[in-house]
Amino acid sequence: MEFVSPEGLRLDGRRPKELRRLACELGCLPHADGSAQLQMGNTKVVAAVFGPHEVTNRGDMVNDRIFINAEVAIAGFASDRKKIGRGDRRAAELTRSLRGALEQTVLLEQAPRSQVDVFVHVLVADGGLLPACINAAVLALAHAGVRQRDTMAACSVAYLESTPLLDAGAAEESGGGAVIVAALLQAAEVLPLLTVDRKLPLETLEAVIELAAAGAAAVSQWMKAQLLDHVQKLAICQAVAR
Amino acid sequence: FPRQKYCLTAPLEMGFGSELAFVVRGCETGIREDGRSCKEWRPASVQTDVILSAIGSSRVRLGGTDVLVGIKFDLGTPHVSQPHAGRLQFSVECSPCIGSSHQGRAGEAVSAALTAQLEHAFDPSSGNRLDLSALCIVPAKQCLVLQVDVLILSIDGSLPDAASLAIKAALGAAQVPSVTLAEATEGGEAELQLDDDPSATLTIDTRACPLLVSVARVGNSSLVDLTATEEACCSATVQAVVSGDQPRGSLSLRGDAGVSPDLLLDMFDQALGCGPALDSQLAGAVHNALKSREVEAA
Repeated sequence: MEFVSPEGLRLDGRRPKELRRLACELGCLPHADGSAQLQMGNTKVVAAVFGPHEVTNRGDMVNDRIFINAEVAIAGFASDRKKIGRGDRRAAELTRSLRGALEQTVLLEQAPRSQVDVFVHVLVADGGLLPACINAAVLALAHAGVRQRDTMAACSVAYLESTPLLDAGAAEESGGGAVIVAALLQAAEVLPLLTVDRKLPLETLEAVIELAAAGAAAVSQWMKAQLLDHVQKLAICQAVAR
Repeated sequence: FPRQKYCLTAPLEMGFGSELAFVVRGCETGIREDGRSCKEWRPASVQTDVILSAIGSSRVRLGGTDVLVGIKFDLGTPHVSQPHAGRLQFSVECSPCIGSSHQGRAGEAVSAALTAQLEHAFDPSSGNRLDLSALCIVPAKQCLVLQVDVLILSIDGSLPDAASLAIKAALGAAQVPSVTLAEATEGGEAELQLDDDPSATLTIDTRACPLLVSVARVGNSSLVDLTATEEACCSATVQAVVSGDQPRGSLSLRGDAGVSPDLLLDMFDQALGCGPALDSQLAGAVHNALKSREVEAA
């Protein structure tokens, strides 16, 4: 299968450095303190945030900071793969990576001895699951009013046919090449998360990381614009209500 | 700030005696906590084609209850009692997004109960007349099995009602691929052929698709479409399986208190009466979905 055509077009007609279409809806689950539904191309995830509230297990309580209880679940109809059940390794890995990334961006000292629940459910899986989960979680946390260091965003890059392909879809991710996911805190110029699956030639590493970071920066700008838009709408509603 | 846990929209275990008594008195005078009358349903939004990787999907928001249904297909063997029809297989999952009240065992209990209710409602031997003969490939040997995955995103009462509405909408808007048996080659087995043509998909006639309607007894009045707080105060629930065309239904009675036979029949009639209104709302949503598909194709 040819992942990049001679004209430089990918399987879905994009250029190698082109992001997929982004769409989000804030506040889609009103019963949660914060919620966001994010769509990156065909990948659709929904995130719900509860808290900060009292810790549910006393053993999890940390005296000087928030305990982040993150969980990622993948719906049975999300992809063509048969659902394995509760012990899904993919979901467990996503949970671990998500928790690690969030612990670096949420201002943990804002609510000591408390817990913030971040639940993400993947509804449609078409590549870029980890970036989508991270981005949706950040949006939902912002919607819930949990203070964060910066608007962290994540993006993936697949390395196929000697070309780095930004924001890979499911077909490109399973194409046999390396898949890199990077999360970015733009102001601090720090990558809280960087994962590399499969093998990647060492000399291409820097270029690939730069591309992933650039993609993450673009997503971060977009997310900031969405959050600002949401707040402006709220301000208008409040002004009208008065 | 810390979440306020002692308000009327709190989960069941937080309901205080005086608040529940307030809700009961209100229902007895015909005014519920959100201003509805005893026979009114909450405004429901039904969307179809929300999960593009599934052959049929829908999302129903009934007040605070949010249910997503995705349908996928697989090959399987027909039911012994219905060799000329396909099958439905149900799987219910409580998303962690519901919150800590339905995590772990509590969530599994809710999903197991709902799966059992759905399997019973759609069981051909208990009166279900849904026509799945279009899913048959080889009578008594092979058929299409539709895997119906129900994902619960939030619960505020009326879960079986919302779930059955979502399933009916998803089935109505589903585009089932046509699978036929090709001619057997010499010395070989007959192969199954999947038609790739998107316009050659089958649709399922969901007029006879069952809906679950619950009518509950709060104080001395009968209510439909209860919120979570009202469910905490109800003494008995009659759950009816209502089947579109004919007013056929089966019922089950749950709860702490008993119900007199007359009252039982009254509540059952009330549940059957809700059928047509729900059906027309669903038909409207499915019709819109099919229309927008035509517009896209054109």
